[in-house]
Parts: sequence; structure tokens; C-alpha cells
Amino acid sequence: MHIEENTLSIEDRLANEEIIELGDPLTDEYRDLLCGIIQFTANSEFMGAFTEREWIPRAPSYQRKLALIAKNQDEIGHAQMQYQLAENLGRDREEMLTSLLAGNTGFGNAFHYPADEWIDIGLLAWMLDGAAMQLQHSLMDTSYGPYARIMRRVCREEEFHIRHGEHIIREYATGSRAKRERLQAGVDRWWPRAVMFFGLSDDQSEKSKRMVELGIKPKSNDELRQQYFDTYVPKLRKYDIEIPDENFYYDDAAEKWQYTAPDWEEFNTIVSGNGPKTQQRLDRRRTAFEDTAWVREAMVAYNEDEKASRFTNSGSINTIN
Amino acid sequence: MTDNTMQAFEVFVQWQRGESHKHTITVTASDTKMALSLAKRNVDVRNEPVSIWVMPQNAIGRTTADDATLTPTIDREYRNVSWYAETGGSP
Amino acid sequence: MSVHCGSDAVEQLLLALADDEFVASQRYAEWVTVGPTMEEDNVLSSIAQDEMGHARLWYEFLEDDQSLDAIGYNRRPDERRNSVLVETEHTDFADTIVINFLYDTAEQQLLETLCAGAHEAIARRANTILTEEIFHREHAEQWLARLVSTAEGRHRLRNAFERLLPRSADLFSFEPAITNQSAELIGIPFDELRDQWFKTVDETIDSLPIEVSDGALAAAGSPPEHNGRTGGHTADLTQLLDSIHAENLPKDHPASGYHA
Repeated sequence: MHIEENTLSIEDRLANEEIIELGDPLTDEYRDLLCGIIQFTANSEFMGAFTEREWIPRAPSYQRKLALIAKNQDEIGHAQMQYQLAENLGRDREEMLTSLLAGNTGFGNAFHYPADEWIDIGLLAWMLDGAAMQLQHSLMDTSYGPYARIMRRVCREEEFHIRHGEHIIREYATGSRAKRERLQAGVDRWWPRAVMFFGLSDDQSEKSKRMVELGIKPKSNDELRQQYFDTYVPKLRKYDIEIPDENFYYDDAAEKWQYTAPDWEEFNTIVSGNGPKTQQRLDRRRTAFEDTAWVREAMVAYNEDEKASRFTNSGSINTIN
Repeated sequence: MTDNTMQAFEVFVQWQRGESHKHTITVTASDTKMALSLAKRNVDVRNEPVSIWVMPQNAIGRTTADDATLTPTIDREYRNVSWYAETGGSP
Repeated sequence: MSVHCGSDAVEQLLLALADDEFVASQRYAEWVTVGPTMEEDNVLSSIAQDEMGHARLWYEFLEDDQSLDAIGYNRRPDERRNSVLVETEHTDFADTIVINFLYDTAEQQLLETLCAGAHEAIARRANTILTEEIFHREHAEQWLARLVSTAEGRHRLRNAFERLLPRSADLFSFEPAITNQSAELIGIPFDELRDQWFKTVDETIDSLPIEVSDGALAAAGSPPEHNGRTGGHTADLTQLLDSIHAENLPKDHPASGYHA
């Protein structure tokens, strides 16, 4: 007797426009590419918070401080949810953190740079979270269901981050001349980084292309970059901010924005761990990880004690009634 | 490798009275009590949960993707309201 | 907004409570991104926000013509009335948990007396704050029970108690203007409240498998070496206030006045 095989391959499911779930048999390629992007987005959330933490003590008002703490709480929460997702796919959290600290897995280019001024914090939240949001929003349609579900909450919370950033931008854009100058100087610094944030063009990135084919990444790097311009160019103009790229314009014939090709050499140098702040931030995280190792060890020991005592009190295990 | 012996807990939140608990996040904790405490501040804190359940991930039984017994295979159209509408109630 | 709440003594007591919350919050917030686990990181951020929110509830009673930022940010160390316990730098997670336990135990007792007090608006706010403080107490107690599970945890926790018990001596050492009015303010003498606090602390430490010296315990119940309640702070507060004041802010920023 032949029982019909009920299991579809990933390709079959994708062809049926089905969502992939945890119990499905995943190919190594799918799992590796998926875990790769999850680790990248998780690392970016985590290191983004590292960039902003320096300003938590110094946030210039009561309201700003509360918003900044809340924002960073969200970012750590996003990192937690995404690392946990990779754990459910068989990765080990401690190994993922170790690999981040060793520079073996990357994170967003923006978080390798210093945030020396308060306006940098506004711009990170408005322009860079805004860039990340293009990717996160598209990931709500990723082929991997559990990742898509997390992205729905992530996007809801990122919307608040962008509003918080824009509130700071508006304060500067409508403030004193000194503030307006600081704002423009800030955009001059962060604009090229935002353009690069989306990564290499599709024709240059084999991996990105494959992720699009497998539905892991619903939109390509270039699509996301163009979408970002669509959203942010009007916003920048609204605040009288100049786009610091003399070759930037909308090409009616090609129906897309044209811009100066980013300095990919700088990009590669930065994201491979040689940014001005990369090592300092990773060192801080390493120290924190080591200094709190005893806490995690105590948690484990407590759990073992508790399990041991549960087994001696027979009958009290896992009962609901 | 301390994390290996910490446990993952699935967190289920009832967001509104009258609704069922819904799977929300997973937290890693030492034990059930701490998992509950952590869950209180790790779920979406912009909404107010009515109740939270946590459960060790390894205590959950799950079906596999190739489980052929998930649903009966023979059509049970007579259990659906629509069948009666289509046939106009005739036997 | 300005709420007049009766007497100077009430305002001074509320200012001390607000300063406790404000300063405690800054210390909790220092854990953001460097907590022992990401889950716990989020809990500490959440507690930091709670404490900032509590400080705001009390500052709002006292604002008069000053803005929240002016009263929260732009006061010098000797103008602040928080306990030196909460300004203490957290050098280890054990410090955080011990401060969390010692301070929130005291705060819970103070709030409970305020809830039972005659001033309705104060009682209402105290009750709102108390609800969140229950979680803070739960947090401290859960961690105390877990951190003693290893020899290193017991050692670190003991050291934290040795260092921090003497710094908790000023928790109830308010200015005479406040203590003289204790019957009207909280219904019982502050000394009696301190005794209740000490009993809870002593019993909790006793229940843990750690040996805390009699000297450290005695110091918690003795006149304080530094009394933050009368403006006698430690270098830790200066360090904390320096860290919250950025020097390169444009002049029209609320917090830029501190350096002016």
C-alpha cells in the first residue's frame, strides 16, 4: 500500500505562494540564508542600541530621555525576538553573540559611526531607522512565517522611533539658525550612510538575489533604496534640508532616482569591522558579557536546584490541576 | 555554554477578556517564575495583557509537517452549513 | 501646573521622594544594552522608565514656576534630597539587586503610609506608584533567591550588602522640618518606619545563605555618614549629574542651563 507523501518541498510551497513554517523540512540553503539575514537584522538592532546608549544619560529633556530609553528597550526587544527565532532554527544564542563580538557576523553600517551630537540621535532615529524600516516592512511578507510575524511588531514599534526622530528634526528645522545649521551638517554626514545602508546593487550581490528568489527577502536592495528615496525626499524638502548629492535627481525616463554611486570601498571597510566606533562598541559589549557571566551561571544553577527538588517531590511535576 | 541549560519558554498572552491566549514571544529564563516576570516586561508593553501563560518550549508536543493524520481525508460535506444551502435542503 | 499641597513639610518630603526616583532611574538606565540577558535588559529599562514616571508624578506637585526639566535636571547636588543609596554607582549586577531590594522596600513602606494619609491627591498618586513598585519588589526578591545559587553569586551578593547597607542609613533621616510633622504626614514617626524597614531587611538577609557582618547591619540602623536627605551627598551624585549634562547642546535646550 502506498500512502501519499504529504510533505511539499520548499520550492513547491513557494510556487504555491505558501508560507514556510517552523515544522517544515528546510533545505540547508534556505536555513543558512534565513539565519544569515535574521542574525544581521538582530545584530543591527543590538548594535544600534549600543550607538544610542551613549546619549541616554545626556538626553536633553525629561521627555527625550524617556523616549530614548523606551526606544532602546524596543531595539533590545527586537534583537531578543530575532535571536530567539534563530535559536528555534537550531542556532545557539551564546554562539551568535560570540560570533558578533568576533566580527564574524555583521551589522548595519550606520552603527559603526560615532554619534557625537544630539542631532545624530535624531537623525539615526529618523533617517536610519527610516531606512531600516523599508527592509523591515518588506520582511512582513517574507516567506518564513515566524519572521514575518515578528516583523509586524517590529514595524509597529519602529513607527514610534521614526516619530520620535522626526520630532527632534522638526525642533531643529524650526529652531535657531545654529540648530538649522547643525541639522544640515548632520544630514550631510548621514545621507551617504543611509544610501549605502541598503547594500550593494542587486547585480553585484549574488546572495541578495538568491534571497529574493527564495522569498526570504521580498524586495531587492535597489527596490528598497528607491522606495526610501520616494519616502524621504519629500520629507527632507519639507524641512528645507538639502540633499547633499549634486547628482541626485528623479529620472523621468528611467522612472527612478539617480544618485552618485556610493563609496563601496568605504562601505566594505566599515562593515568588516573597521568603522571609527566598531571595536570600541564591541569591546564594551564583550566586557558586559564577561562581567555578567556569573549572573547567567547562577540562573542555570538555580534551575538545576529547582529541577532536582521537583524530582524529589514526586507528583508535583507539570501538573495543571 | 551557560545558555544551553537555560530554558526557552513560550509566552501566551490574553490581550482581552473574552479572547483566547495567543502565542506572542519566546523568552529564555532560568525557571517558570522568572520566565513569567520577564514576560511581563518583554511582551508588547504598549498594550495591557489580561493574563500571561508561560510554558517550557520542550514541554510542547507538536505535529510534524508530514503528519498524514492531521485531518480526516474523506469529505465530510454533510457537516457544513454550505452543503445544505447548495442542495436547497433536498436529500 | 502647580498643585499646592498644604505645608512645606509635605513638599519637602515629596521632593525627597521625587529625587530618589529620578536618581534611581538614571542608574537603572545605565544597564541598557549591557544587562545580563536581553530579557533582563528590557526589564531594567522598564524599571528605569517607571522610576522616571514616578519622579514626574511628584515633581508635578512641586513645579510652581519651574519646568519639569528645570526641577529634574538643573539643580545642583547640594539642592537634591535623594538618599545616597540610590545615587551609588552600580559596579555589579549584585549592586543593582541589593539597591533595588533596600530602596524599594523603604519606598513601598513610605508609599503605603502616604496612601493611608489624609491628603487625597497625594494618596491617589502614591497608590498609582505603589502598583508598579510591587513589580520592582518582585524583581528584587526573585533575583536575590537566584543569585545565591552559586558560590560566586553568594560572594558578590554579600559584598554588595556590606557596601550598600551603610549607604541606606539615610533612607528615613529626613530634615527636622519633615520629621517633626510625621504624625500629620504619615501617621507614625519616621523612626518607627525605619524599624519596620530594618526588620524586613534583616529577616530577608537572614533567609539567604549568606553571612552579612553585624557591623554592616548596624550601620544601616545608625546615623548616616552621608545624609542625602539634608543635601550631604557622595561623589557618586556629582559623577551622575555630570554624566547627564552634555556640554555641547545648543543654548535653547532645556538641560543646557546646568553649565551656564
